[in-house]
Amino acid sequence: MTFVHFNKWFKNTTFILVLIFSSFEISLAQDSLLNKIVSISFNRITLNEAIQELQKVSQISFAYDPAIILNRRISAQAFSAQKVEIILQVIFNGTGLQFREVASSIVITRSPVSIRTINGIVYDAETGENLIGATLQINQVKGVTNQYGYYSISLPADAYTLTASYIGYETKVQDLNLQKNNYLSIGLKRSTFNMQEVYVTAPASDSIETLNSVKSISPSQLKGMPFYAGEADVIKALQMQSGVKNPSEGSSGLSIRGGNLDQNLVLVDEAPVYNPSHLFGLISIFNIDAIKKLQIYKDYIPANLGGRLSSVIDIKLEEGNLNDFHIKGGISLLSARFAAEGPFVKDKSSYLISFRRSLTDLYNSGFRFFNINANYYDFNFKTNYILNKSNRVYFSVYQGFDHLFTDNNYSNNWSNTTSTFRFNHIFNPRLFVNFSAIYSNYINALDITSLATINKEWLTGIRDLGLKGDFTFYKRAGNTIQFGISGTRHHFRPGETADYISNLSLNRFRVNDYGAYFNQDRNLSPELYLNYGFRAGIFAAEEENRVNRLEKNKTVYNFEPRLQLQYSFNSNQALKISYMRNSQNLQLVQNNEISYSSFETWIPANSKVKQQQSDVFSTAYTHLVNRWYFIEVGLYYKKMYNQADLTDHSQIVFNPLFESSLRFGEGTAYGSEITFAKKTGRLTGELSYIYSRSFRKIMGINSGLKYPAIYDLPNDFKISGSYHFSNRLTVSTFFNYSNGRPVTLPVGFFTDNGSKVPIYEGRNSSRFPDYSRLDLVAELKPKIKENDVKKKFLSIWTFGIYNLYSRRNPLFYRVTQLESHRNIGFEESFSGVIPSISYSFKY
Amino acid sequence: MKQIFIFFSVISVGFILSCEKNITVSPPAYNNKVSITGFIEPDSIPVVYFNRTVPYFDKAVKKNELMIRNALITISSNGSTDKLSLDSVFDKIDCQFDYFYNGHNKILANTKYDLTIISEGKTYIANAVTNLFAPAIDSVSYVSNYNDLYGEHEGVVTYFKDVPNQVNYYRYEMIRSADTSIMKAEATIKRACLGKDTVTVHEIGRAVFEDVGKEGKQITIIVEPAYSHKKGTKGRIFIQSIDKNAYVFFSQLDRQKLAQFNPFVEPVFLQEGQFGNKAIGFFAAKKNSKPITFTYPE
Repeated sequence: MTFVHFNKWFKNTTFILVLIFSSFEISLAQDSLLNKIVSISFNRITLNEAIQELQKVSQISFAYDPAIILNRRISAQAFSAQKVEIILQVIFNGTGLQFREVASSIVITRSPVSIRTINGIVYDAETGENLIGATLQINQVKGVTNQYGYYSISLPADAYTLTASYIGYETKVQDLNLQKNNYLSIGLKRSTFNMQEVYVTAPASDSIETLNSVKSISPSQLKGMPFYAGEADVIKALQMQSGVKNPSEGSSGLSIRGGNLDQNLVLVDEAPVYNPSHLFGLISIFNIDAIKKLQIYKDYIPANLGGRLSSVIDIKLEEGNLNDFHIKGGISLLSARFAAEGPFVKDKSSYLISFRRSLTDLYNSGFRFFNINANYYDFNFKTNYILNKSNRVYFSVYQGFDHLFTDNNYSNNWSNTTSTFRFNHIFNPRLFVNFSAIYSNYINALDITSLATINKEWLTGIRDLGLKGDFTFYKRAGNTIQFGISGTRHHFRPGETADYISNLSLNRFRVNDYGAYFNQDRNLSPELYLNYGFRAGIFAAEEENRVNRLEKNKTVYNFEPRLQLQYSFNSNQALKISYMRNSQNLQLVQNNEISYSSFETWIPANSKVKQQQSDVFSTAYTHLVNRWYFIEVGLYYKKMYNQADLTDHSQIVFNPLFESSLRFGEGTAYGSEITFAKKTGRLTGELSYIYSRSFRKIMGINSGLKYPAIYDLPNDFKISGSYHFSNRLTVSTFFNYSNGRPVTLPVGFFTDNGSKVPIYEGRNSSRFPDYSRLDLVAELKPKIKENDVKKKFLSIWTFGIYNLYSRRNPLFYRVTQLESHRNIGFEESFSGVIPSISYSFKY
Repeated sequence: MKQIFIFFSVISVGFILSCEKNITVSPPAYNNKVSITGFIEPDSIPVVYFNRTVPYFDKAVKKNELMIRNALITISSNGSTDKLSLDSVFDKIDCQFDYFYNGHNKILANTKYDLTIISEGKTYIANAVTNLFAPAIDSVSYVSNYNDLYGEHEGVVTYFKDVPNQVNYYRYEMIRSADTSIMKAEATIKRACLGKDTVTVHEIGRAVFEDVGKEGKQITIIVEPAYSHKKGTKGRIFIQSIDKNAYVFFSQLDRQKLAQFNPFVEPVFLQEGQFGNKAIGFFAAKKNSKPITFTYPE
């Protein structure tokens, strides 16, 4: 023990002994200081001033640390001939302070810490809908509402100031005296009218801490983006985001950080969607009027989500207005849509119903707008009921349908149906649970019966029925634990004719898919944030033969740890480092030549098809400059295992043996991303540049040599911007430049028996020309008349130009021979510039 | 197959608001190889085709632009060497000369032959053994509607017996006459060179067959005719017994041709054969069955 340590020990010991003996002495004293009688009055002075005044009047010495005396005012009070003890009890009430007599002084200290919890819902004060991701701040402690608008923060009993904020809403500040557990639902008012919220951007409080791994896009932001034919679209909006690549023009596919299209989990109210595209992929299946929130996890996926290697796209549907009836809708060159919402029982239950139908088949008779007849529709319905403050139920349904047919009566139909029933229950203020029953059904039918004497219908699909429970335990401020279990029964139809027992059909699969996860968020210190967790699962496949007998096929297991550390240098700068292992138990078998859902099929991991896995390492530095500008620099490295690709001459449709054409190997992707964004002001926008590569190395393909994946687009540059000229006019633009995607083209030819035979020398060894596109869109709000304000009628005209400088970006190529026997290739692409006009309204 | 292809083509061509232009993709630099194809058959003169290959979109497409002159080509066996000479015949349908190297000595049965080609400083070597047995055709018939994996079509049906106790590979061939009244691949044969003449054509089956699982048993193959026909049109049908090198090559070619104009099928990379990475092709033995005459019933 050094002298310094001894000195400290001696002082502490002496102090404790003095306290003990002093207390003993006082207890024996007949005339306690606390019993002293005084008369005193306080006139809205601070607590500190009150103690000093009492000290002066009573001539008693008070010992305390001024830091523990909050700078708060006490109400005006007068005490006449009252004991000091009573006076102190009154003025210390609710302050968390206690007092005791020690020797000839009264010592003031903090009361022993008792933890209290405030919990509740943050909701839209106008519609009653829950707000996902709203921020609550109590002193330096932050909380965020979950997917159901629920929050819970536990703190020492004390008096606080609570601030609730949400993008596009007025910030609410209120005093909070947290002496006991408190249920507090907070209604936030929109800053402006719904359809003008596009002007409202990130509030000043949206500092680095909230700019983490999830990216959110609100419906109003979606509506302001440029789209094909003026149809606002979720997937196309995601394709405009940094780090997200579109493998080909017009596709609804997303390649994220070098991953395949099937490595993105698309959830609608927790139900998976296996084909999120309408109209060949030009449009996604999501009706913008029914969407409440869109979130994408691409850098780091917390353990409560998963099942895919690259990203999770989480779409929540609107619940409907709990207070008033409203209608909304719109019309564009592609479709017309209509939605109605309102209360079933005011403040208790609401609904939203929406319908969208394409207009493309209507054009056909007159304008022949499309060479192929095509139409689609989708339908959403959602309702909820608040049983009491601890229990709430939700029920939502989506159905979408596409019908494509030619003059020769060939047809291709596909549909997605999802349904989710959810039950929220608050066990206690710190334990929130959601139970979900989930149904999803995707079916794709390709019918070429008209010219064939045998039935030539080719069906693929997948149907899920699942149950899950998600628990959130708010242990204390900055420490949240999530855990859950799930069970899903999948029914795969990899490919079959209408007559399943024919030789052309592939065997169906039924799969029991069980999973569990643990996820914890911890603030280790004010600067250091940690998220870690794991997912574990069992995926047991049974093969159903042609006489509907099930045979055990293969069971695969997965364990997926993950961890993210975030160090905040200050409130505006942070460094994130993360690692995650992901597993994916199903594969989408795709044609390399063209992305089209009817030539693709989902198959489960089984004895012939391996489970996909990936290890992802990433880091990012983020800097919020002056609360206006946001800069992010990121690096990632991703190793993917059991990546499937088709061997030479593989064909998926009408091929019962295509599983044997699959080969499996490794994938490697890496890249650096730089993003610069301006979040507030009249001019807002984002500029990003990505350099990335993605390769595959699969035995049996390309002679076992490494080759570029079809998503390997090394240079990708994007600019999006909006300028708010006035409350009525906003002009937005989007520009994208990237390298063309790899393609396998013949490099030479030779003749055999009069035929020209192409020679290929490498998988994906050629590239399409570089891709670029510039879009422009103007949103014009008609002048709001006084009468409209009363009626709350709002409308927007949107004028757009897609592909402003008429760049012919190829979709795919085809080759043919001229009469001169010379080979010639053609690129198929969209036509050039596409103007659009659309109208939206809300009443 | 046809139906699927038509459907896909309709989708492709009619893709929404699509437009097309000449391809602007630049394939990687091509290191031109040569192609060598040569069959030897007992009691026949050896014939070897020796041509250059060119970049896929090259303008050089005529046979005289592709042929390689001044090559030294020999076929040797048991100490004797046959030096092949450049020869040609005029193809009236294709309206151009067909070039090949012709031998002078008849090929013997049960003999190993070595092919050596020396051209432009490079040497290409392969060998083949003429030890194949010809199968016996039992009968032939015709079906107007036949469905297989690729769709519905008419077909000439050939029944033949597999040669027992060995691995065999087979290919179909029909020899018949053609004039400008018939069509090939849905296009009328042009009169430019053929005029009113009638020429002999060889319809060689695109597919090749292996006798796996049919050892010594009757094999049935159905082949879609390449040329149009009328009731009473006659042809002579052979079944070629070919060696493994030829089978592997033609098997790849069959899949290659299917994939060539169909963007929905993965392309086929020709694997290295007898000549390694220096040349594409084969040098193989074959043995034709005895022909059987077939008359189209419709």
